[in-house]
Amino acid sequence: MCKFCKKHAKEHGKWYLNPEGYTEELFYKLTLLDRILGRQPRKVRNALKSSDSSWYPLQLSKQMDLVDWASKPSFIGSLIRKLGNYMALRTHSGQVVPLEDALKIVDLSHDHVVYPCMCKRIFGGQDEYKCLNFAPLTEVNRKAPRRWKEKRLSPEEAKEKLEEFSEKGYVHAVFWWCEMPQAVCICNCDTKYCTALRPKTWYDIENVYRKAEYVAEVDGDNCISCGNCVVRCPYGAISLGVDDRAIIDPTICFGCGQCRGVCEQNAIKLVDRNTHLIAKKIW
Amino acid sequence: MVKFYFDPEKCDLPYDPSENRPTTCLKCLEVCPYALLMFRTMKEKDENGVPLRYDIHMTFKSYANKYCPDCLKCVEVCPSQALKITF
Repeated sequence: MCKFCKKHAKEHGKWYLNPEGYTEELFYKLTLLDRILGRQPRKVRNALKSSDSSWYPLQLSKQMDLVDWASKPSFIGSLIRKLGNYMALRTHSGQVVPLEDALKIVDLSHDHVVYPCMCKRIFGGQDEYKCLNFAPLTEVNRKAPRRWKEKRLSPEEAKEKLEEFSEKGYVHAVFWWCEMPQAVCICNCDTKYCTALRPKTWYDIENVYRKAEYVAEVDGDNCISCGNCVVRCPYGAISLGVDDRAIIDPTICFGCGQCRGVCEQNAIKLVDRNTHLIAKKIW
Repeated sequence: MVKFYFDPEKCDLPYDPSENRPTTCLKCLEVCPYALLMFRTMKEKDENGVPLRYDIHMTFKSYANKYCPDCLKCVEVCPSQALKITF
């Protein structure tokens, strides 16, 4: 089990299945310094700032320019990587979840709202309503002076949307806000534009976009080597072997479950990452 | 080294304050095969909180050197010739 689940999940198994993470008490919890200075908690301050979508692009471009220093060799690169890993836990980063866990998260949360995906807006120049956010954050966003455009959904509609996104090939990821058990949104990432994935794969900053608690495995007897999963995998983890069976590289696999969705033979299953021999050390 | 230049005087899209972005063109972003170009608003704002300036910016610079495939699609697609790339 990963160290974050040990700390935050308690008896629920995974940190994002802990109902505590969706409560307002955790969101509005004041630290000692906040009480002394008489200010709002950091989560609320950050939410008010980022609810202005004209602030976000400049902030992101600064962060991404800083992240680029991680490619420098030796001392500077490793320092930036460590700083990035630390900041990712203190800000807004996420973990990949398969569809069934995403549906469980919808059950745990309330007040579902879709915002336009910021990554696609900044890197792709288009708006697509696919960032599914929940209660404490959306309420703060509504109080902000210049707020995002939103579409409200009922829980059933939210589940339908998630299934629709999954069919399109978007990867679900649950994102926390400022600290780990506070889950605030399910991103449905188009990996081409994803701002979290690229620091992870290009610069090895692992906490920005953690891999799922699962890893995909092929059942060789059922596989007919149709190649559907090879085409679908957004991370390029699957190849067809010499004996015409799909091979999943567990060091690359993110455990998103997209390959399982397109497999007509039901030959792919998700297994627990913590029990997998190779993948258990790679997050 | 890939160097990317953006001319803010030539690219002058109407900024939509309710959407917080220009909603008309931005074809250069759509066309980039690795999504290396980024739209960003600048800090200066007028009294209504609407940013006065924006620009197109190339991020992940060290990876742009590897990935930017010198296809020049962004330069070709721009209707006002506001972009320039040197290699």
